Amino acid sequence: MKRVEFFVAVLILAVCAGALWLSRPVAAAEPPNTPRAASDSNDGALFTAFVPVLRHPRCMNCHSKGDYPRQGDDSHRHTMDIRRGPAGFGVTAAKCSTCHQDHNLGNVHLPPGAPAWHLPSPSMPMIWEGLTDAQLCQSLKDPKQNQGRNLDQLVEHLTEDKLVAWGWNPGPGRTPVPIPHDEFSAKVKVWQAAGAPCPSR
Amino acid sequence: MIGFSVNGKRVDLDVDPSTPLLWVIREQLSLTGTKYGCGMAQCGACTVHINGEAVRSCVAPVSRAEGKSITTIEGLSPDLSHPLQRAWLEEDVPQCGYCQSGQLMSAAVLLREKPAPTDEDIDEAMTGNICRCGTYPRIRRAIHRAAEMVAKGGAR
Repeated sequence: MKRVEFFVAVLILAVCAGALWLSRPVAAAEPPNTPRAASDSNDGALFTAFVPVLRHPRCMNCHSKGDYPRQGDDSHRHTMDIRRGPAGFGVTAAKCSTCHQDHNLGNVHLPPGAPAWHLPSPSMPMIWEGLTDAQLCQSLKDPKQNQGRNLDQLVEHLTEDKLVAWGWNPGPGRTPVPIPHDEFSAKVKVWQAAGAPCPSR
Repeated sequence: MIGFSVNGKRVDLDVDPSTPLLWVIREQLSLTGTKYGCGMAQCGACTVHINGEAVRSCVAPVSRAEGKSITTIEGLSPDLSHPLQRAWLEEDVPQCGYCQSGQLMSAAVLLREKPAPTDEDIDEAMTGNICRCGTYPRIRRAIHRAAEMVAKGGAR
């Protein structure tokens, strides 16, 4: 009898352990360097998990159509008719650095700032507006569309670049991107570790 | 202490690094040609050059000037001989004049980068400099006139 009880107890423990393993947070349990097959991606779910950040106005205002930056949560055209310019840093006497500092200023309606405040260059404008998740994913990974970055460099850009990180600290009066930075970084690295799978559409 | 040069002269100032550069220029250095307009980089009246680039000094902390070269309207030329200053006089550009030092400082950057600017170049460069008197047509004419002076070799 005792043997049967012991067997049942072991079985229950095993089931509980299995359930715990299955319910684990993916980001916490999967080290970023764990290789996984790209096909094991639930049709790009690992990518779409952090897409809300990419599609947020804090990111899209510099990745939208047109040869100019945008502003606000409604992504209206930058006031004063500011242009992208030949290198993404504005034009002549109306460069980004004319008004933007390398840090936010303390009050609402003052220019936000971060190091190297700029748009993508016109030769590679990285326009995401109008793309499906699949197209966005592919364009992010394509060195011909992402300033020549390989996957490691892309992940570093997404998770460590100071201008990108500004989206989490946009200063007073601006909505930050929706997912906490550490959570976003973990999701990006899980996607990377899985082979950076893209949605099929 | 924060050190930089203003119109070619070295200055070292004991000032809070977050103080707007405009305040330092006007209050500490008594160079009052640069004007306070909006205080939020919306009007362009406070435009100066930091290492040759147009900057709105009302929102730029003086720490940004550390080790750099600042040019204000007083330093554009020692004797009003800059082609833009001459063209401004010839075209009688200013009305009230309050925005004009900022207009000139922006125009100077434009001419350096585009010695023969089109109307579109002028619009793109001067877009952040507002003039309540509406002197924009005269500003445009003066910039073209200054560009012609430079092209003819009659100006520095």
